[in-house]
Amino acid sequence: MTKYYGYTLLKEFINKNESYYLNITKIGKIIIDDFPFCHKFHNNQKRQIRLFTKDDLSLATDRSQWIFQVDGVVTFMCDHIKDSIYYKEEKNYTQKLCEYWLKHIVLPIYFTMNGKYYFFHAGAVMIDNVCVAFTGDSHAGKSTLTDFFIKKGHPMITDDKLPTFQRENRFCVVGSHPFHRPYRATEELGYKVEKFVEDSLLLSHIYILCPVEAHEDVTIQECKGIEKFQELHSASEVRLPIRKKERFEYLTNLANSTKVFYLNVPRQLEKLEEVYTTILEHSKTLKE
Amino acid sequence: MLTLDTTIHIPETVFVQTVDDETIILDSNTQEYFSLNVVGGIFWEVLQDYNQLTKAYEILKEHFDDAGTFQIEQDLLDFVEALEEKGLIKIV
Repeated sequence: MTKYYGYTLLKEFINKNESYYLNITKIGKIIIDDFPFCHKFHNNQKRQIRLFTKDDLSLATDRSQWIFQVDGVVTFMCDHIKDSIYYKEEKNYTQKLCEYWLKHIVLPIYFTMNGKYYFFHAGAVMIDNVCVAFTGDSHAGKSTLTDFFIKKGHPMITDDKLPTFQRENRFCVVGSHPFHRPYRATEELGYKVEKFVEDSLLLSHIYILCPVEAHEDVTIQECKGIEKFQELHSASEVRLPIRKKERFEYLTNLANSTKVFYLNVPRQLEKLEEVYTTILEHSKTLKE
Repeated sequence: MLTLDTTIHIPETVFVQTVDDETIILDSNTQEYFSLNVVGGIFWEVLQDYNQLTKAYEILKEHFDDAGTFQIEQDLLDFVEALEEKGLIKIV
């Protein structure tokens, strides 16, 4: 039996001294025939990946077991009742690939299915003991900016998948896994960061990165109403037809209690220092 | 034809929340979302409580007592028509 101790998503956030582990166990056989409903994913990893369930996902009342298959690499069977994930090695299996798929895709689906976290596609770092997240379209510069903050000594919360949850009326985050990719490569976890936030933190505010021409200024503008909802909706991860009402309510509650800003980021690496100081100063004014 | 005698029904797959004073309606079947301004939000709230348009009209008439009754009737019918077109309500 293998246990992934290093993955803080598995840590119980209510009492940080009591760790909560999923059993992750290698098995020899997974019978897909018992899971006739198939949901195909469009992904950029050049793999065929599929989710198999016992019922139609949008109608299912029983989502206690499901299968996630990375064709030719690994098949996972997830069991929410036993808090267990079983995996079967396929022809092209490697432990690195297994870890990648587990941490990047399977666990976010697992914790979305059981309603523990709501995930955003965002980089996030700690600034003055709270979480500041960066979201935006592909190639907007999330990884580059997250990397810049890491190099400046800010603890990382996540590289690109931010697990959030509500505690009473506050929205919090928890560190995902301590790996960072300053670049985008397929099926790679990246390098292990030294400073990583293992506990939960308050989510302070979110910047939507908007790349602008190199000669333009770094500017910040608050985003409100439908636009704010739209941006947060676009940044949501794990787009499966599950818990629709609950997730909609969560997102709108988060939108009502979290400030969101458009951040114009000039496409010039030399201006990153200016972007960095602008964010620090702006974050400071929000705290005051 | 849509008249005040019409009765409407809001499908269970349509969810509504407010963000920064804007009403956001999500059609969870299509994942399409729509926003309503403050007045549209009041119209929607009344329709949630009163599925018969004649009753909804009476409530709105009281709420917007400085607007003409014909205007309110027309606005309500236009609003319901637009919602029906988007699949956000059904005419019973």
